[in-house]
Amino acid sequence: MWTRRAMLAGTAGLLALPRWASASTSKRLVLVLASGGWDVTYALDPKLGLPSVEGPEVDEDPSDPLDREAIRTFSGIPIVTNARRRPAVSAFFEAYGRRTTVVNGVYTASLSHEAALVRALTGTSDVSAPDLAAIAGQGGDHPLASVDLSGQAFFGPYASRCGRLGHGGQLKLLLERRGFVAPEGAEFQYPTWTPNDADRAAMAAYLARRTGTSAVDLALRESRIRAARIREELPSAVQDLVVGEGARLISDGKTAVDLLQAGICRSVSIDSRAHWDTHADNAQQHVAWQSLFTGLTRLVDGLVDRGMLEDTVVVVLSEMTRTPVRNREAGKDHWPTTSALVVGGGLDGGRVLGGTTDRLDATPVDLRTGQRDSRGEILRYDHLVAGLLEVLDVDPAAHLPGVVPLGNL
Amino acid sequence: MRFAWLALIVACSGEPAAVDLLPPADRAIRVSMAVRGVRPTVAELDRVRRDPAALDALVDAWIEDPRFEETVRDLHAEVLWLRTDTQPTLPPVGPLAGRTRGEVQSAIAEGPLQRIASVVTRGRPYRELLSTNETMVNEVLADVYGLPWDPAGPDWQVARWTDGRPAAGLLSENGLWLRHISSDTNHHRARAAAVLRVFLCDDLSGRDLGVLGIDLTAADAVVDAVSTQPACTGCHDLLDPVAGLFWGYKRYILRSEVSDAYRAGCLDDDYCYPIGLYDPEREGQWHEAELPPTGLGGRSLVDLADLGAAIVADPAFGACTARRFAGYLWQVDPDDVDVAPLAVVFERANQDARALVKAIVLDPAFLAASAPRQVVRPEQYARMLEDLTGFRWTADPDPPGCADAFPTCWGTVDLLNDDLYGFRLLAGGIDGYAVRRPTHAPTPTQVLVFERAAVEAAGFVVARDLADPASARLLRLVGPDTVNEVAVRAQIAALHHRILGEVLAPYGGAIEDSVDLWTDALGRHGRPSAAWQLLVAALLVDARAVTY
Repeated sequence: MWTRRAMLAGTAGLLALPRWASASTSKRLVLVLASGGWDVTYALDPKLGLPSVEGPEVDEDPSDPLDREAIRTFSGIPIVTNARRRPAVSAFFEAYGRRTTVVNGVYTASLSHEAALVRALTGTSDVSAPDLAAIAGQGGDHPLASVDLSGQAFFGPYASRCGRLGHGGQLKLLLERRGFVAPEGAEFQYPTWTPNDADRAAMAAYLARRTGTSAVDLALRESRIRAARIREELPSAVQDLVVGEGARLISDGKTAVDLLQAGICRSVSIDSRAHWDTHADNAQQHVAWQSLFTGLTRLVDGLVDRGMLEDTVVVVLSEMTRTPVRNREAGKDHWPTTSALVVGGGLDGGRVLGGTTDRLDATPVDLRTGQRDSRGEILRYDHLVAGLLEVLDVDPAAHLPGVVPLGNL
Repeated sequence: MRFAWLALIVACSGEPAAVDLLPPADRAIRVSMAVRGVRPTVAELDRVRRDPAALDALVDAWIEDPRFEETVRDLHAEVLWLRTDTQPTLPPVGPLAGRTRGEVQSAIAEGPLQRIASVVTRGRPYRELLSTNETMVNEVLADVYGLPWDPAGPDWQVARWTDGRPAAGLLSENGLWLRHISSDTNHHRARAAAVLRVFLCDDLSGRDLGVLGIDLTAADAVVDAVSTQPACTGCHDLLDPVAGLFWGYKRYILRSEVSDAYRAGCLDDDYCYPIGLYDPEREGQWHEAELPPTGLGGRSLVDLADLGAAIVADPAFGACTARRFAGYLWQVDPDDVDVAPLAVVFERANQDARALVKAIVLDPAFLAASAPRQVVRPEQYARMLEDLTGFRWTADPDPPGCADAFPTCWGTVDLLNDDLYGFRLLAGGIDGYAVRRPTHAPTPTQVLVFERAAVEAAGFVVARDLADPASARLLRLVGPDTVNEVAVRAQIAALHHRILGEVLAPYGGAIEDSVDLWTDALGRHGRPSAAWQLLVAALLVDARAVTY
């Protein structure tokens, strides 16, 4: 009663190989997700003084001369700044504005977090499609193609080559030889025994001999090889990974750079770990933007210090932005556009692509140049993802056929 | 590529070709794992080898197994996205003081799942899930919801809502609406979307919004658009009339609101236990949000009980149910299931889901030798390990003194059934929040997780079996010091049979690899127990153990 498609898909998924499997991408990727819906009027998309938009100026404390919203231009990029509440935003653009491209007015085509996230990360509405990081990680000889610290990655058919570290980084615990704590009253203690290196080698060889050649066997074989490499190579790369509920963007960002430098993977997804979904009290956005750019600066500093920024692209995005005006709870609800930052990767920075109207609607652009053009078309999530794939030297047509990539990134 | 050839024959001829099935024992393993997440016993395997037709009777018995009930709960947790331990809901305060956060979280998630399992395992018509005012509570939920619970009775007990909410089964379940919340401006549309997705397989999230050109900042323009603009009405015509039916429910109750309420001395009763998620006086006030009259598919409805009746009367309900069960048991995308024959089976059985399950797992396509092997889910692996070894991989994640700290203790964690501290997500499961689709393929992290679990389980069972032969689960033919070759080989063969369903001759052929592994370990460690630990661990992560 299965459909033919279902049965073939079950096999095909295990054998999914990208067309570029034999060639590694030239650039690495750190994908920073500001999940929850950032209010871009607080930084990336200035709308100060417009009667149609209630931006951060609403929160100003008149008694504090430093708590003032202003538009400053950094390397040609106009940014909303506030010396009191969001100094990290200014600091970042002062340091890295010339290496940063801002993309505004990306239509997300959804007002639901989950659905918008799928679109923003995969360029499709298909939750089984791989996301930007999973695609970008393919190729090369790394233990993992992509590592997810955000908890929200979509690996799609590349799951056998990708790895999650867990909500609290618990993969690190798994790899550490120190055991777990048995529950009170348990009739055992951990570890119940510990295989030594010779045991592991013997077991690996034994299992390999007993594993067949079907599609699932091949995937299992590949997963075991990668697992062995993870066991060997990952612990030193995640030494500073904060396990548990104390994780922050700063620590995750360092872990991301450590993972890339150690050659564990080609792409890493991390989350800003800030509260963006401000349906009540939109002033919380100040804290979130400050936290994001504090962590982002550290992340990019880390890449610069290790000589990795030129061949590492940092993409920062959120699945949506927020309404132009506030609701009865002084918060803002969901709005179907978003922005993105693209940093590093040897790309030209100091630019703004796309744009929005005075009501935060996406404006038409020339997709080849990213410049506003009334004769152009609305910049959509799939155009952006396709454009980012091109930046990462991945043929977007292989994943998003028929989608015109946003050019000039 | 034998399978592709078969599919081509079927596609071209339109007639079912004779299907080359798995050997009888392997069929039994696949069905047993799918239905209850454990391997068949040696006796069961021997029975089907002698008489392959006996599988039919075994399936009937396995559907009566308590672990089938766990499979039912797992299936519905995956459909309803209920097990979200990374997103704790309500705090253990007030009458729940002294409880752990994990206990409260688990109770809220499991309540609806217990109700579903109760209907399914008793062979009640599945449609009953959307009617009655019954729910299931344990001791914790009794305090959370203010429902009676008998300390002398079973852990989970049937209770009835007494607050006047519609008798709409799952549609009235607090557990669902504490998970699927609505924002103040969403007006329960998210809940409506969840109902349509879960029970009618109508997933609106795949549709792109067509709001370009509409002034979303103008309330009047939005109200006009959702009722007149084709780009909007495609969803809103379906969602909004259903959304209005949830008006009796609060949009959300946050744990911070409950904590704040207790700190303030419970001035607002709704936010102190028992929580007041539902209020009949709020029913019918959907017009405040300028929603259209309540209904479904053009049919006027008064309340959630009406909605439940409308849903179960829709042929799509039976088809969707069949799709959900088949998608889960076959580990395929539910959208890819050829549902028509299963829907017929389901309806002919008066929506007894047990009959549906049986039809699914005995489908020749599922038992075909060429069908893709299934990958063991983390929940199944936990049950399989416990059944084989008596070991459940649990741990205490809390720091000392957590009872007096904030946040308070989480409590004992089942490491294969948890995402906050455990490894369910890493082993291919879902966390019900960010990750909503399981991974049905081996992954490097799954290998690491299963291997660690297997190592611990092997150490546990070897130590216990060798210390207490009378209750031994796996090592029944050897003692702590046994190195006699005949006995060792017999034991190894028995392990292959019990764990992997393989019948191996004690000498020659496939058993020699296992003998070599055991002998090598004995030589290196000098203790038979070490050799058994290694061999048992290896068998527990063998390809035939982690797939079926």
